Amino acid sequence: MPAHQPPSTPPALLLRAFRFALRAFPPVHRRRFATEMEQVFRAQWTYARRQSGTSAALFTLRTAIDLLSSASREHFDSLRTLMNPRKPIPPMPRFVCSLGTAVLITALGAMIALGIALAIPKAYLGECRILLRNTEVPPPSAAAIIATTGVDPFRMQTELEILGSMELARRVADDLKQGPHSHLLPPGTTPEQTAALAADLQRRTSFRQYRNTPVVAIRVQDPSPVLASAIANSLAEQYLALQTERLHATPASRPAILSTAQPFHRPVSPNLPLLVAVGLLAGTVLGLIAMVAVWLHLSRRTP
Amino acid sequence: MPPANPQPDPESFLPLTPAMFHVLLALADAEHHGYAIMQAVLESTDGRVSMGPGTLYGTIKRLLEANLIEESDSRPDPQLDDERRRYYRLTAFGHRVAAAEAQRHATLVRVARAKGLLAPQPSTP
Repeated sequence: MPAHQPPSTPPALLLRAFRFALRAFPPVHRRRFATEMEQVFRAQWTYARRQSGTSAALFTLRTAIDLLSSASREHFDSLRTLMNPRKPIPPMPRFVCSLGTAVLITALGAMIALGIALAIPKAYLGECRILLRNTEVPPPSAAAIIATTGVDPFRMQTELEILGSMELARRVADDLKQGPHSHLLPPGTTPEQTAALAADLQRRTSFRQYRNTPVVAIRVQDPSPVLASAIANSLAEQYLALQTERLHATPASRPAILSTAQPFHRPVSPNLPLLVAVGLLAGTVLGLIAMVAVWLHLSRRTP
Repeated sequence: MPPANPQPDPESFLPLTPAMFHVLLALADAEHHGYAIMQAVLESTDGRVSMGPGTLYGTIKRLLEANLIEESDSRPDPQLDDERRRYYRLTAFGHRVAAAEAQRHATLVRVARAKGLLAPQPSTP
């Protein structure tokens, strides 16, 4: 059986990629040297492949970097040597080239930020509002505040703690497992799995009390907008049930749901406009630095 | 009447970039095509300097524009060679520039020896 021989020419796909990369060079340079560059690439790749597959891979990577850096240099040089290689290019083309670099880098910054934003998993917000009522006698120290705002701060604090409690989170986990959105939850119904789900729900839930009012917003973040709103609504319902059981509250003194959460299909995270703005800002700063560098580079007299 | 298109002073091209000097050195004693230039650079530097196709032909382009090298029409063996290959050789002016750059390096080496950075040159019998 003949021994395995490494290929004598680069794979067709690699050659196509090389030819495509040559398009990064200025047309004049490409017309003059593309054939020779390909010949050299073929010969070098074949030599590297005879050494080992790793050598060929490293050589391919080095060539890609070499083509990228030399193509950008050729663009700068072709601009500089338009008229006379010994003369720096006139200020206007120099400015246009420098500005172009700045714009390119700024756009690159925005694109990178956009790429990051698209790579970050999306999270949607489910938010509902509940009205808490004073069902217990406030302590004397709260009297002055209640007289001013109509809200008992101690009571509010207690209610917020109950809303964020593990007991309530467990109830919500049980409720969701039996509800229509159970397929969106992690599988498993053992006490440990339910406890893990409850802890996860607790972590993704936040509460916000509207200033000087007994109104609290329940906010839940989840990769599914449907589940985010379902969790928020379940939390409100379970809280109402718990308080009704606990305090034997009359309908008039029960907390009430002011608004239920609806699936909101615009993600709250990642914050696309913010990320792109940061990318644009960083790109602008780097672009301005590059603009100065390009201006200086094009002003240089080199052979 | 002044001569048309007078040749610039070789010193005005110095210092050459390492890539330019390597290519001029490779062509100093023979005509070569691109791949042979690369091989010559690899050999003369014990494999430490490896030029990619982009760097090589960018350097060749600049050397052609500066009239330091030129294309050669001759083929060492047309039967064995790819006729699309281009051969390059030093121009007389390129030779002067390469010699000036070599002299510049020799001066630097002499200074380095004097400062004890390099071992003294063995005396010839």
